[in-house]
This record gives sequence, C-alpha cells and structure tokens, in this order.
Amino acid sequence: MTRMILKGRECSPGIAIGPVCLLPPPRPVAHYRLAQKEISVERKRLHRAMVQTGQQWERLLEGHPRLQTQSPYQILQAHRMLLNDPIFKESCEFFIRREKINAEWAVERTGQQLGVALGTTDETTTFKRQEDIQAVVHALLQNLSRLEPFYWIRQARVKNRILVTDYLSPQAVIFLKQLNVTGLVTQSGGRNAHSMILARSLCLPAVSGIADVKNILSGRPKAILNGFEGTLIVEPTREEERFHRELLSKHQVLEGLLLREANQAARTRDKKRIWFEANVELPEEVPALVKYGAEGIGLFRTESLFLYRAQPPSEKKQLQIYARVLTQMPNTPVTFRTLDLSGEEWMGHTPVNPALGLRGIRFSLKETRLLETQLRALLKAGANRLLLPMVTSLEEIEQFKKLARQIQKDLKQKRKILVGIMVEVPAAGLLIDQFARAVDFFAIGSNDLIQYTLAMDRANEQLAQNYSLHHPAIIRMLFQIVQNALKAKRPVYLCGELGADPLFLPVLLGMGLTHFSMNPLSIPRAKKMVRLLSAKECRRRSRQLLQVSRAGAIEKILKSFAFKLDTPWRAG
Amino acid sequence: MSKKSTKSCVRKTKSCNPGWHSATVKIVHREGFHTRPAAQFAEIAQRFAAEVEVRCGRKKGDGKSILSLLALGAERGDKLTLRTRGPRAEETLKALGKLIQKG
Repeated sequence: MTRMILKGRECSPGIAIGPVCLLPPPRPVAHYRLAQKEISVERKRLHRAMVQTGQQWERLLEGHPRLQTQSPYQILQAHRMLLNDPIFKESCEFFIRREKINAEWAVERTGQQLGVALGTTDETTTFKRQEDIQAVVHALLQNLSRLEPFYWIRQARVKNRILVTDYLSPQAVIFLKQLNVTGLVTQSGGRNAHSMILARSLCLPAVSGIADVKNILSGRPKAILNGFEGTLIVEPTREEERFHRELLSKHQVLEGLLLREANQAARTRDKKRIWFEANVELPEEVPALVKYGAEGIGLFRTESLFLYRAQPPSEKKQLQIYARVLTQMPNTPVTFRTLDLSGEEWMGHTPVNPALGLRGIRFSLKETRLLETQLRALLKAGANRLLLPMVTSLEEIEQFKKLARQIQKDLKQKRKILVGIMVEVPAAGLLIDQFARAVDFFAIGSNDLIQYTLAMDRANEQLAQNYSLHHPAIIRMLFQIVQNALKAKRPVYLCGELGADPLFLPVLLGMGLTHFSMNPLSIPRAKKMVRLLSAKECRRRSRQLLQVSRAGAIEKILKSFAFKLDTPWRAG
Repeated sequence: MSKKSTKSCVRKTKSCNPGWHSATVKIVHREGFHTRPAAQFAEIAQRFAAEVEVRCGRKKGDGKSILSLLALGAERGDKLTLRTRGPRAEETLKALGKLIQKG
C-alpha cells in the first residue's frame, strides 16, 4: 500500500488517526415462505422487533442528552413516528398474512412499496424520503435477524478506528460514537445527509463521497482523516502523522488538565471566590455535572419536558423528574426555570415575530393550566429556587407569586420559596431596583439580552458584520444591571456562554459578578481563567471600558487585556 | 415562492357535510411535504382531539399518520385540502393550515 491522499467532501470537522475498519456490506435479506401455523409466530416476531427498535432509539438519545434539544433530534423523532405509524405495521402484517412471507421479507417489501409510493418527480426529495424509510427498515432488519452489523459489532473491533462503510443511518452514527469510533468515511451521501448532521453534533469527524473507497482501503491500512478539509491520507508519512497527532493531542491534553482542576473551587489570584453552576436542559445530564465541577444548577430549563410530545407531561411525571434532579444534587442550589415556550408554536401557529410574541412567563400566565401543573410538581418535589423567564413587568412577578402562594396553601406548605427572574429584556434591565423589592435573585440571560438590546438576531447572516458582543450598549447595560442588583443586595447570576468567553470574563468579574451558570462543558475552562485573573485588576480595567464609545475599541482593549493574562483559550 | 402569493392561500371552502371544517392551502416548502414537515404536521395533529383528513388531488390521507401524509406525494405548489371534525375542530384547522403555509 502506498501513500495517497483521497479527496472527498468534508462533512464533520475534526481529526482522526488510526487504522481503518471496513464494515462488510449487509448480507442479503432472507426470503422464505411460511406455513399457515407459523404466521402468528411471525407476527409476534415483527411486533417484538418494532418494540425493540423503539427502545434502542430511545436509549441512543438518553446517552446524548444535548442532542435532544437540537435539530437532528427532529430527524430521529420523524423516524420514530414512521416506526410507530400504524400503516407501516399494517403493511408488514398484510404481507405476512396474505403472502405468507417471513417478517424480514415483509419489512423489505413494505420499505420498497413505501419508497415507490413516496417517490416524487424531484430526485433529491425522493432520495431523502427513502433515506428515512430505509433507516426504519434497516433498524428493523437488524433486530429481526441480526443481519446488519451495527448493533452487534463488538466494541473491540471498531474502537479507536476510522470506520469505512457505504451507508450509515443516523441511529448508527450515534451508536458508533458510543463504541468510540474516531472517524467516519462513507462512499455516498453528502454534507446534508441526516447521518452527517448527526456526526457534526456529536463531534465525530467525517468525510463522504470518496469513490471506490472500500476497494482502495481493502488492505486496512493506517490513515488520517481530516474532517476540516475533507481528506483521507492513506499510509501517511511520519511527518504528516506527527503533525496531525500534535494538533490532536494539544487539544486533548488541555482538556484533560482543565478537567483535573475542575472540582476545586475557583478563586481569583486575590482570593475572591467565584461560583460556577450549570445550565441544564435534561435530567439525564445531571449525573455528569460533578465531573465538570458544577457547584449547583443555575438554570434548569424545563421546556424540553414539554417539547416533542403530543400531551404535556402529567404532574406525576414532572414530579418524578424534578425530585430525581433534586436528589442527584444534594446540598447544592438547584434553580428551576418555569417553562419558556412560545405559546404560538405550542399550538402550531407561526407568529409573525416569535421573539417578540407570547413567550416565557407571558404564555405561562395566559395558559395557567400548564404553569399550575408544573408549579404543583415543583413544589411537591421540594424545589426552593424558581426562576421566571422573559419577565418585563412587576405585575407578572406579582401574579406568579400569588399563584405560587395559592398552590402552597393548597399543598399545606409553609416553607420559603426563592423567586428570581431572568433579565433578558432591556425593560427588566432598566427596572432592577424596582423589581428587587419583589424578587430574591436575578439571572441575566446574556444571549437574549444582547439580541433584544441590539435588536439583532445573531443567526442573521446579513447582520454578521454589525453584531458585536462588544457593543458599548451591552457593556453599559450589563454594568447597570449588576450594580443595581448588588446595591439592592440581591444575588445576580450570569447565565450563558458569555461567562466562558476569555475576552469577556475579566470584564464580568470587574463588574462584580460572582455567580455564573453555563454549559457544564465550559466550566473547567472558565474556572481556569478565573484562577489567572485578579479581581482588583479586572475592576480597574472594566471601569475604563465604560468611557469607550466604539465596539472596535472595546474589543481591542479586551484583547490586549487577555493577551497580558496569557489566556490563549478561544471561546467555544 | 414569494410571500405575496402565500397570503391568500388559506381559503375556507364551504363544507358540504355538517361538522366538518375545511380549508385549502398551498404548499410553499421547497421540498414539498417531505419527512420533517410531515412529521411536524402529524405531531401537531396528534395533539388535538379532532379528526384530521388531508386531500391532495384525488388522494386522501389521515392527518395524524406521517406515512399517510408522505404518501400523498404532495409537492411544492400543490394544493392540500384539510378537513377537521370533532372537538376544537376549527382551532385545529387553523393551526395546521398555518403550519403548511409556513413551509
């Protein structure tokens, strides 16, 4: 085998080095006829495979809680709906009953039939629909006869290898990630294939579209997969390997070092204590928080319990979830945010302007049924820190507190509940001193606050040039909020990734912030930065910033400050 | 598809049968009624108690079944007729109609 560089399409960034592992093509599906008395057995077999597939998919998602809130989840959700669709099952059963064929064959024929039925004149659309049907068919075949390799691969065979295959279903990608495969190479498919979207969200480097790749790699050589450039270097030179390995290990070593120190409390050089708590979206994330050094849950988003389901979760179900979270985080503060849903979306309407619509506490107070159920569950579970999203007026806080009091009375509870509000709207930011009389703590939602202050959507490409975190208005807004909250002796949290931004963290500390809540993965890095900073120095420098009137100039100052501190970590 | 033409997409048609509410909408999504929009449609339809029926040309489908929706083979520009019956039928119709228009 000689050295060569194969060029494909870059599908998921990252680098993987190691031997390749070829997955054998799926063996042909067994076809046989049944005797009359075998039919009921066969139908049971089909039913079992369907249940099993559903469970496997559910477990896959449990392993990756973050995935559940992202758009690839919609794909998996669609697949689940396909699997559970009565038509699918009826069609398979029809073939078994009428044609007396085995379950595998029936599933295969159903897939073919549906593939044809769903075909359109547009080829790419047809391909995508068939891809989805195929994902369901493949999974069922795997469970029916263990023909398809994915679920039955032993970890030893693929661990730390680059996997080469023709076809991958999105579910297979998640599964392979769990088996510690380091990279994926596929013959067909492109960047926007559903499986590749998933690879990206799981940080699994991938390249696709290398023609004849399985033949070229039949000797199972060593290779370097470069997901940034979409290349596969077969039998790399020593030089190339060293270069890529260094790139990879630099990253890993740094992460490892940070993790080791993550459990210790973070203090600045001048011994000021800074607290880091975690933003959590799903109960499954909670057990891992300790590892990242989270000192509590600063923001537990409850929306995910309500999304992607036909009915809102019952009080009992919610109670279970909240109680579990609380027992998993004993003796640490846990703050639950009441549901922050867009009311319009909940009922399938498309609001003209969702960001300015019936959101957060506005929706909750209008559709009080949902909020009441949630509050009962939270209070029964013993939650004592509640956070309200999207608050703009004092009346909203009062209305909520009245409701909470009523429910506490019904439950015959007398304990004190701490109620805080999210400061995500400039209106709330301007009224901190007034709100302070009604609430026990504040939590700044940095992403939304910035967007609402600048009236800019950060996802809007047209505004990429204009959107700047370093806008003087942002600095001033944050400063004012923190100062007013501290003056009123109310703790104030900063929720969001701004607290892990190496340029911004010094300023935030300088403003007097001591409590942060962020993605748990960012906590080790943020703690490390805190240890390098001096609170006094931060304070002095951030005061200067208030006088600067241009975003460019502010950014420059922040950079020079970060440079002096030698914090070379890039955000994200 | 320009925004203007979607404006007048929802047209309430007189229901022939009592109890049925119906409306006609035009599909604006680039890829027609593909898996994700169909899944979303079925999911929202399942949230409501009302019966939901979808017609495209001569084909008829159950609005709560993703496969049934996909099998309509509805493409961009096609007109779908939605019919709902039962509890909160009108609200259901409105929600689903808007969903399709959104594309």
